[in-house]
Amino acid sequence: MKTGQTVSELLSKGEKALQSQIAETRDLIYSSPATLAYNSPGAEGYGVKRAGLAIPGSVMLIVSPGCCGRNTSELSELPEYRHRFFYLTMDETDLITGRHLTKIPDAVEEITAFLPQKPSVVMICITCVDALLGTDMDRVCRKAEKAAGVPVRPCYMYALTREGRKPPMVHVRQSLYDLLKKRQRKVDCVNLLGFFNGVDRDSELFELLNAVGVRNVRTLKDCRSIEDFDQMAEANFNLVLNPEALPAAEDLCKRLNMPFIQMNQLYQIDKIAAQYEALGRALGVHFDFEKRREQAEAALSHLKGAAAGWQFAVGEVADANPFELALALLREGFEVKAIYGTVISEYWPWLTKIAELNPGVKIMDNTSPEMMACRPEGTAPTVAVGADAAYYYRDVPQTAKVIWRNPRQPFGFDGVKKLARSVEAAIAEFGREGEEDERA
Amino acid sequence: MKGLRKVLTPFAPDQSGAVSVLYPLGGAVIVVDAGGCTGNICGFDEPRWQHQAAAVFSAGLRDMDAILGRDQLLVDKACELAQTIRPQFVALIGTPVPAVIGTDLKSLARLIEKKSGVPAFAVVTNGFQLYDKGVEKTYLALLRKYCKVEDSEGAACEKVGVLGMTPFDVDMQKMQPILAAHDTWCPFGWQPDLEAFCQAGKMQHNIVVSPSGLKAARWLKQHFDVDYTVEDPAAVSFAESLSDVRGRRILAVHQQVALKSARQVWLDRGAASVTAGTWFMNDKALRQPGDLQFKEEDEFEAAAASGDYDMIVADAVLRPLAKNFEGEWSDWPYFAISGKQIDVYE
Repeated sequence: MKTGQTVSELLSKGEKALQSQIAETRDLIYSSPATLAYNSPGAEGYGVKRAGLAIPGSVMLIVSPGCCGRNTSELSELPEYRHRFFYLTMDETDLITGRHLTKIPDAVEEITAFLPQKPSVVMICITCVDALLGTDMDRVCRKAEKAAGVPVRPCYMYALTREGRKPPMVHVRQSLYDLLKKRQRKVDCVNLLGFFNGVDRDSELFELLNAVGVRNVRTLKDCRSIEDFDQMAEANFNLVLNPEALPAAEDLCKRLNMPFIQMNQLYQIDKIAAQYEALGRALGVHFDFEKRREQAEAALSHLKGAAAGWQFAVGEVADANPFELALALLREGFEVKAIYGTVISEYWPWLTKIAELNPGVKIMDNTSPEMMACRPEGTAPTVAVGADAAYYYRDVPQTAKVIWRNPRQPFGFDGVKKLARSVEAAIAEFGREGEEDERA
Repeated sequence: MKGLRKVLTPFAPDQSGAVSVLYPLGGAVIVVDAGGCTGNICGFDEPRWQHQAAAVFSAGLRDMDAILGRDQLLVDKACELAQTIRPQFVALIGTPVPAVIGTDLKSLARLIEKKSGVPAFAVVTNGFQLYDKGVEKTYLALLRKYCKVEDSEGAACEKVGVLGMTPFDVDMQKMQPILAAHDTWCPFGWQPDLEAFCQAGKMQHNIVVSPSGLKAARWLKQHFDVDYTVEDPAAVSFAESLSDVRGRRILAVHQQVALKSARQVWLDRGAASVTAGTWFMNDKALRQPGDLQFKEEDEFEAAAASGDYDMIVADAVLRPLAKNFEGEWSDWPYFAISGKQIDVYE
């Protein structure tokens, strides 16, 4: 079975042939460890359940058939989520009569009475079943809020709408930021929206904002209490670092008159610089990022020496867009052999540039049934970036694996520097293991 | 409140039970869902998934598929897959989405079989029931599909069928040496042996190791006169590992066949009484007077606090519910409850 296609083959079919981000899924989705993050985002990173509990002191009531809450067992054992998940399991009669909805206010009351401290908010998580039943969860939440005397908000774990206009991870952000109430805005406060695991504090983004007078750069991750969260309403503007947070930023703009600017997690040095310049122009300031840019360039230059003779396989289960990262690597002169990622038409510009630099780069769609037969070709030493690429290369001898999933999201020049160093470390580790094997 | 869980997380659902039987058989297993159920099944409930690849797919249903009832799309996708990978069979596994919209999975399976030429069947699970129901339905679906009278004519084979053996029911680590010691045993759905289902009518006899295998054993008895016994050797081995049970009043919580086997060991070793409690199937034939069926958290809580027992043997995740229990607690892992502690690969 043939797996994947070269970027030039892909482009020859035309832009329209690429599945649009909002189009329907056309194939069955192959279930492998490389697609776990796609099928069940919460299994490894932030899915709706974890995201819904981003607000300090919040708890979640999952109202669903038992199957939807099953893998939460693992999450419930993490110290930060202990005693924060509750379940109202539906049975077949609930499905027919909808009586589970009438139980929700009582369940919320019982949970608040059970907890030693009143929760800051109770998130009601509902799933595909209620999506199909057309449940008006806003109304149910208002009723529960009245009964229990705590804020109650919906969050929709509707896998059915994953490629829709408002996917679950978009909606959950809207639900969370909807809790912010109007406050006096302060010129020295900014929110970073988009990443539930926060942004790496080593990123120059913080330093650059500080240098132009922004003293408080807040993220949801850094909120330790509900009071910290409430302070996010003081921001002069929001920086949206992940497009999934755009609708939430638009809501805040309309509701609290809080403007927003979008930036992206990038690995192309010149594009990162251009992004900061554009931000500077929007704010009417100048960002002095040259030193940090030079550090990133130096790290890449050093990597070129260390990675001579190595090729890259770039996956999507990583803190990067695999197509943008692959393009960044190609532009720096590295050899990219394969990209493991779901292609959508929005990536067309990156794909055309990749094709200009190396039309033979293989594009593999992780979700495609043909990935059952995927075995990496060739014997050249390979750096596999991303958990999915590392999975495919698990039995390939000459592979340096860089999972590149960080506790906090890397951003900007600092992200480039750290990635370069991680790759270098993985290659060095591979070399050490090889020497040990030889000695043995 | 009925249905509200404040301490426990949901147990393994029927769809996971269905996949656990089909997983090693070499078929294409299509979970008719939007993706999340497949993630739960493979990422959490299937311990073999990380190490042993299998053709498990999500149908990738989207809202418009459900609203417009685009069943033909699923049939086309399944046929395309069947032509490409030529699996031994195509199995459609139900989830809440087809249950809500009333998809006729059995008819779709017939269409897939007719169009692709690959045997196809459906296991009508819905995600509301528990894993044992899914296992039970899958055994029956496989037997009805593959175990034919014409294949069962002639002399009986030397093998002993084992039913109800899934990673949920038995400790995989403890079961491996037991299987190694009994090379005539043929555990259905445990290894890549679809042929076993064709030969099921010719087995010497069957051993049922969990209640999920009972219906299949009764079906084989009724149609092919294959006798069966009910015992769980892994539970016997576990029960023997408990050091001192003499004079103890034990409350044990697991699946019914494991409880039956363990009860016998403990009573033989001088336990004063053994009460079996289960959250899962409660077959009349295996029930003893006084045995308990749990559905809600407070039912177990009340049993633990009743003062009727001085030893509880159950999965560790139930322990927080026994805060008013003053006797001795002994862990008895049960994958279908906690989703951990049984992993042959670790």
